[in-house]
Amino acid sequence: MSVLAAAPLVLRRHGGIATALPIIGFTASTGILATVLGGLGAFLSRAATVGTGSGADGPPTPEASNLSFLVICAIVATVLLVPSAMGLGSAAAKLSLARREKDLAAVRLVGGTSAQVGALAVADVLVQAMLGSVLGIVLHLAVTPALTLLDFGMDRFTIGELVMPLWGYPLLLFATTLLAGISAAIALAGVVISPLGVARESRIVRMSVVRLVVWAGLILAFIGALQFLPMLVGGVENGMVVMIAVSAVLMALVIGSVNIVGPFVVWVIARILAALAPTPALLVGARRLAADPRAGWRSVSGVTFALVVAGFLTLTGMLGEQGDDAAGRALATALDTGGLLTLGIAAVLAAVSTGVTQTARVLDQGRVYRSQHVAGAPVVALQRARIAEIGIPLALAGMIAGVSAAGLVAPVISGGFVLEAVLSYLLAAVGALGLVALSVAASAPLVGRVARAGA
Amino acid sequence: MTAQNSPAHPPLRPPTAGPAPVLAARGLQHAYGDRSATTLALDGVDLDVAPAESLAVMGPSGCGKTTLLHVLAGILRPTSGSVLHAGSDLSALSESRRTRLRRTAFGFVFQDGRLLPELTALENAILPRMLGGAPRRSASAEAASWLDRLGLQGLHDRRPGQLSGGQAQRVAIARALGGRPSVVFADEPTGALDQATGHSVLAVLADACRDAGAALVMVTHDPSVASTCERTIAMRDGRIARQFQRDPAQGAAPTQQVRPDSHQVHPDSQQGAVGGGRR
Ligand SMILES: Nc1ncnc2c1ncn2[C@@H]1O[C@H](COP(=O)(O)OP(=O)(O)OP(=O)(O)O)[C@@H](O)[C@H]1O
Ligand SMILES: [Mg+2]
Repeated sequence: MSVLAAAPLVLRRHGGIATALPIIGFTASTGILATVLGGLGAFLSRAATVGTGSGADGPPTPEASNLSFLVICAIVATVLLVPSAMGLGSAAAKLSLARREKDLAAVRLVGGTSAQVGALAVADVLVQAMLGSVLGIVLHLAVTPALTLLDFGMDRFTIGELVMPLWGYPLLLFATTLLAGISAAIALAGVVISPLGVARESRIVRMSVVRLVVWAGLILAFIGALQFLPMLVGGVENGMVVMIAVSAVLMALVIGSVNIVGPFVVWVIARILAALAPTPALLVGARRLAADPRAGWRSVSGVTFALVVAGFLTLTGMLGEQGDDAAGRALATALDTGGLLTLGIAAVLAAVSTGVTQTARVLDQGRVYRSQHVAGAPVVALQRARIAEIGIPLALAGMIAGVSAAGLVAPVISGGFVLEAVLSYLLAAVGALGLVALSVAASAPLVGRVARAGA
Repeated sequence: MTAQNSPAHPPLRPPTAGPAPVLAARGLQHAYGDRSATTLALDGVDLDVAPAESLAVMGPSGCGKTTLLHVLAGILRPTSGSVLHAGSDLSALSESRRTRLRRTAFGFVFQDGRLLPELTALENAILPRMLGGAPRRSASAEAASWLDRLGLQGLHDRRPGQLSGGQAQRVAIARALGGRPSVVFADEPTGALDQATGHSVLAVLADACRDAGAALVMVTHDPSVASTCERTIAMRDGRIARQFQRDPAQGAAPTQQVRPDSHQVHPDSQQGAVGGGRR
C-alpha cells in the first residue's frame, strides 16, 4: 500500500503533449459515439411518432415511407461509425499506457509488485478515459445545435431529438471508460514492466495468409448473399427485413475484415521492399513496418475506414438518384445529407486517429531519432523514413479499401455507374491522402525537435 | 558567440610528434542552462587528437566527459573556444554541414548500442554508408566484411534483439567504422556489459579503429579499459586535470590486465605519478 501511496508522486510529473494525446483520442471517440447514437435515436423516435401519427387509415405519407428506409440507412451509418469510434478509444487507451511505461517501471523500482503496477496503470488509464469522455460529451452537446440545421428532406430535427436520453450519458461514460480499461488490461498483458524498464516481447512477427482468405471470403459471401438471398427469402414473411439484416451484418464484417487483411498485406509488401530498398529511408521505413505491421496499419486505419465509407457512399448516392416525385426528391436530399455527414464524421475520426498515432509514434521513437541524428542522419532523412513508413500502408490501404468498397457496391451497380464510382472514389482517395499529408506535416516539426533534443 | 580560430590561443605542442592533429580543440568552454542557473560543464579545455590515436577520457561523474565528446563531435556548439577538424572550425559550419560531417568523418558507439531494433545486423551496419549515398550493394559488401572481422559470421541477418549485448555492440562498432570515419567517439561503450564482455568488445574496438586508421576518443570509468588506449586524459570540473601517455613498450599488449603502476589512471587519486600531463 505504501508503494501505491507513493505512486502519485511518480506518476504526476507529466504534461503537455504526452498527456494531451490520449485525452484528445478519448474526447473524439466519445463525442462521436454520443452524436451518432443520438442521431440514430432521432431517426428511430421520428419513425415511431410518424408511424403512429399517420395511423391505420389511408396510405402512409411520403415522409413515413421514406423514414423506414432512412432508419435503415441510419442503422448502416451507425454500424459503420461505432466500431471505428470505439477503435479510436482503445487506441487512446494503449497510447495512454505507453506514455506511462517509464513511470510504471519507476514504481516497480521502488518496490511495487507487478500486480500493483498493473492496477495502477489501468486506474491511470481509467482516469484519463473518464476525463476525455466527459469532454467528449460536452463537445457532443456543443455541436448538437449545429446539427439541427441539417436538411433530411423533412421537418428539421430538434435538439431534444438529437441528444440521447438523459440516462444514456452516464451509461455511455461508463461504457467508454470500461472499454478503455479493458483495452489497457489487454495491452498490459503483452508487456513485462520490470524495475529496469519495459520489455516488450521482441519475437519476430509472422502473419498468416488466413487473413487474406477471411477478407476475400467475406466479400464473396456478401456478393453471394445479395445475389441469392432475394430468391431464398422471396416467399418468406418479413423477407426484406431478414435480407437487410443479413447484408448489414455481412457488410459490417467486410468492413471489419479490412483491418484483418491490412496488416498481412503490409507485412508481405514491407518485407519485399526492405529486401530491395535502394535508399536508407525506404529500408528503415519498410523494416519498421515489417517488424510491427499492425501498428503500421493502425496509423492509417482511420483513413482506410473513411475511404471504405466514401466508396460505399457512391452506392447510396446512386440509389438517391432514382424517383422524380416529391418523396423521391426528399429521399435524395436525406441521403445526400446523411452520406456527407457520415463521410464528415469518418474524416474527423481519420484525422484525429492519424494525428494522434503519428505524434505518438514520433514521441516513442525519440531516442532512436536522437541517436541517428547524432550519428549524422539529417532530419530530412528521418522524415523520409517516416514518410515511407506511412506511405506504404497508405497506398495499400487505398487499394484494399477500393477493392472492399467495390465488393460492397458490386451487387447493385450497373455498368454505366462504374466510371462515376471510380471517379468519386479517386476523389475521396485524394482527400484521404491530403489528410495524411497534413498530419505528417503537422508532426514534422516534432521530429526535428525530438532529434535535436537533449544535449 | 564562438571564438573563431583566432591566434589568441597559442598552438599547443602536439601530444605526440607526428602528423597534424585530426581534431584540435582550443579554449573550449561550455555552459548549460540560462542566465538564472548555469552549469559550466567545460572550463577551458585544450586538446589535440592525432590521426589513428586512441584516447581515453576519464574522470568523476559530472566532470564534463560527455559534454567534451559532444563538443568535439560537433553535436554541441561550445559556448566559446573552437574545435578544428581538418582545418575547419566546427562552430563555423551550419547545422546541416555539421550533420554531414558527423556522418562522413565521425563514427559513434553509444553505451547501449542504439541499433535500430527493426533492422538486421547487416542493415544497421550499412545505414551510415547508404545515408552518405553509397549504393546498397557495395555498402553491404563492405559492412559484411567488417561484421566478419568482428566475429559475427553467420549473424548478419539477426535483429539486435536476437543478439547478445556484446554481439550487438560489435555491430555498433561495424556501423561506426562502416562510414570510414577519421574519428570514432565512444561514450562508455561497454557500460551496459559485464566486465569480461566489455573488455573483449573494447579490445575489438581499439583494434578495429587501428586497422581502419581511425582515431578513437572513448569515455570510460574503467582504468583497465583506459590503459588499453595510447593516451588518457583525466578530467575534473570541466578541465583536463592530467594526461598520461602510455609507455610504447606496453603497446604490444593492449589488453593487459590492470597493474598498479604509474601508467594506470585513477581519476580520484590525488597525485598522478606522471604529473601534470602536457599542459
Ligand atoms: N542538458 C544539460 N542541461 C544542464 N546541465 C547539464 C546538461 N547535461 C549535462 N549537464 C551538467 O553538466 C555537467 C557535465 O555533464 P556531463 O554529462 O558532461 O558529465 P559526465 O562527465 O559525462 O558524467 P557521467 O560520468 O556521469 O556521464 C554536469 O554537472 C551536468 O549536471
Ligand atoms: Mg557522461
